Amino acid sequence: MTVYVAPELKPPEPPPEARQLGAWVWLRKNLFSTWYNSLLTVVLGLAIVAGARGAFAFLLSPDRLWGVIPPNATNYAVDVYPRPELTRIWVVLAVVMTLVGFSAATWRPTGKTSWGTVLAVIRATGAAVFAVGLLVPGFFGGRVPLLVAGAVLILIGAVGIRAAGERAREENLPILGVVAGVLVLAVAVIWLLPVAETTKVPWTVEALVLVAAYLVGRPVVRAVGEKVLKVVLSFLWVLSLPVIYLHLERKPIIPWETVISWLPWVLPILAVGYLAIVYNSRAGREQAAAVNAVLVVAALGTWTVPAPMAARLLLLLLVGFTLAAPTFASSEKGRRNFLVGWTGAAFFLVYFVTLSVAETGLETQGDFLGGLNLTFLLALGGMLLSFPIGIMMALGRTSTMPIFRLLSTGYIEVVRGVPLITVLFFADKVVPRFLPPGLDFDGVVKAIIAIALFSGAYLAENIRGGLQSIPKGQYEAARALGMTTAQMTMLITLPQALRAVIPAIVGQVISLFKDTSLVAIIGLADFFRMARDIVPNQPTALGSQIENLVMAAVVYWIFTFSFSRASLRLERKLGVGTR
Amino acid sequence: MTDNGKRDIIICENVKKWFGDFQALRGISTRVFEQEVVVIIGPSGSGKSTWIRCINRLEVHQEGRIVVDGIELTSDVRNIEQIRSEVGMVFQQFNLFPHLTVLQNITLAQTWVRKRTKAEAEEKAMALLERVGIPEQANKFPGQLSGGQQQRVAIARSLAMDPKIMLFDEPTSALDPEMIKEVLDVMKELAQSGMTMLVVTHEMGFAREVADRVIFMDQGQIVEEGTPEHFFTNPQHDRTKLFLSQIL
Repeated sequence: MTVYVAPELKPPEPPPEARQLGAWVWLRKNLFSTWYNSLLTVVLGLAIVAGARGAFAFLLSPDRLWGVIPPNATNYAVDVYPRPELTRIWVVLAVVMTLVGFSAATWRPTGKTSWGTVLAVIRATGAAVFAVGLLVPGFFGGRVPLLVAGAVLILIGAVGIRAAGERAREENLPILGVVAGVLVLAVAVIWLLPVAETTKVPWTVEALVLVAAYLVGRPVVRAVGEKVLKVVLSFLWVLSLPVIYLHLERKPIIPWETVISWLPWVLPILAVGYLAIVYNSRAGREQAAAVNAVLVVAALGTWTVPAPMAARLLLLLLVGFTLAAPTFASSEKGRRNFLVGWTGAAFFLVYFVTLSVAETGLETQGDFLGGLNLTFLLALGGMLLSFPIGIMMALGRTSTMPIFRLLSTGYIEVVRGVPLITVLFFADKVVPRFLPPGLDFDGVVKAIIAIALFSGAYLAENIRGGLQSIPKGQYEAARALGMTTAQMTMLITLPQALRAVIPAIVGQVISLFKDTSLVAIIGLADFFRMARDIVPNQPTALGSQIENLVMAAVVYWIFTFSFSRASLRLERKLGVGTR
Repeated sequence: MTDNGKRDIIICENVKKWFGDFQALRGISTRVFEQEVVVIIGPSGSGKSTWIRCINRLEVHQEGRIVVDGIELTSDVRNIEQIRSEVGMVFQQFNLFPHLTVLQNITLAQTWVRKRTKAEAEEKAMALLERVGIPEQANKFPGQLSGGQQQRVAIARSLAMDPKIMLFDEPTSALDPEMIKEVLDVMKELAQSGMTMLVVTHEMGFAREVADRVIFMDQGQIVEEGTPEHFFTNPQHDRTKLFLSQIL
């Protein structure tokens, strides 16, 4: 046998150049490779053209009443919200924009893209517009501008790619820059189109607020540190929901008489809370359990005697804090954080409950949140609330304690077994009969809670799937390091489980967003109901239901499509370092 | 007290354990004294792993007694957590936390279980990474490390808790041959520093060089135990002779 000894080890070589396929070769290869494939291509192509022509003939027919939609833009956005109070909505939007700006500065999407990608998108858009121009039936004036616009876009894209050459492929264009560019473009379009001043000016201001928040956010991040700001912003996002809701619904913002009348209850509970948390964070398991038992009895006891709602809920909140204290507040720092957290949560709860039962001075008839405004509030509220529910139910269902397992499994199976409409009806018509007098939430709050409870059950199953995908070794390693079950769950298994099920969670969020349209059943005027009933029934818009529904479908699609794109980025970002 | 004047740190008396009908441990009785290095060998399914997993109660024994550092293992949660924080364990599959960086892997339990401040924990972690020879990997994720590096991080993670005893459950079985040595070197250094160690392994070279005592197990029981010298030159039991003849 011959012996082979390598003279010296070879250095790595660059990969072979990918051969650029010409358009003709691509067509031959993918569409016309054999006679029956060619036949299929031609037949399907004709079918697509015929279908598209039909759709455009319908959508662009002179009989369509697209003209009714722009004058109703305000109705679509806010329904019957009192027009003199519209500034409140702009203020709320500005608050959200500020949060978005600061979040962008903090979580700074570092993703990069290339000019080539942007130009390719422009070229593809141009091709689509051009195709529409070709397929539009008849010879009316609409065709020429479409063809010209399409050709111009294709030209910009193609020439740009040609001119950039090799550089087009370099990933050196920050995503944030692209987003900013699109924003500028959007504002420019508003000013070019015939839009009312009352829309133009506020939107421009909102865009400026967004940019300003980002620019202010950068130095703040550097001064305070990314981690602190991330925590603060997460809290602010959660808090923003009730604040937004109350700012839109209540006038005055704080009813001082109610607040003062509750203080004799609230202050002692606050004090008891400090004592119990400090005691539980130092005491042994048995003593802590005894304190918790007393507090649970006291909390439930207040529901049997006349007491302010704030006091009852505050005691329940306290039970949550004292239960967690032995695990998470045993160090000096943890205890301090816990006491601050308790103070904050307590004040916030009182604020929220006070306002939800306060009279409003806003002049209106019935429920006055509606339109896209309401759809967003329902989606955001349902999403934020369904997460804690889903996580608790998932942990309960995988718990080794039979009572928790039974309760969670029962809850999940019952809720998943009934349609959302049933849950909404139940929340609207049945639950109020069981609530103590003096506590009747209005329709929007009930809808948010119903949606959250419903979505929470599905979320729980998704998260359970994630928990089951965690290898047994992770549990063993955590246990071998002496972690308690609570620490293991919060620090090791849950973070990994949530990461593993992002696609399923996004799917759930998307269907939650679309499911908000079912609240029409309990009489709320969300975006979908505006499109189906309210706008088309105006005397000036009779017979325009189809146009409005098509518009609504497009709007829903734009939002859900953005969700799924954003989640892809999130997945890629969180995928770093995982095996 | 044993004959050499050192304190017993692990006492096992007639430890039995069943998985369903299958008896995995058929009465293990032995003592381990402080700073002793015990290597456990035996064919697969002989109960080696089950036994050392009983010592930090990842498995629960059903009969007999196990006493670790004066604390008897019972179902009392406080005892278990106390023992686990004093007994470090290194697994065959490393079991690093993939969502945390190397540094976070080592500081997490220090801050949550040992209640150290972040600065203390990080200082300790860096010192240990220095000791296992990979300080430059501190801010990478486990998935970006080679198997040998991951196992060394896992050892550092356990050591960060200042354990009195270290358990090694086949620490080199999932590694490429070229990486085994770097892990064994760390373990040798650890043994020389006076750590009490129980090591389940198939690395006979390590057993011969480092062990104070070798235990051979088969069918859930201890077949033969003695010094490495006794084992590799003059084994007594037929089963031991057969096993050694097949692997040496």
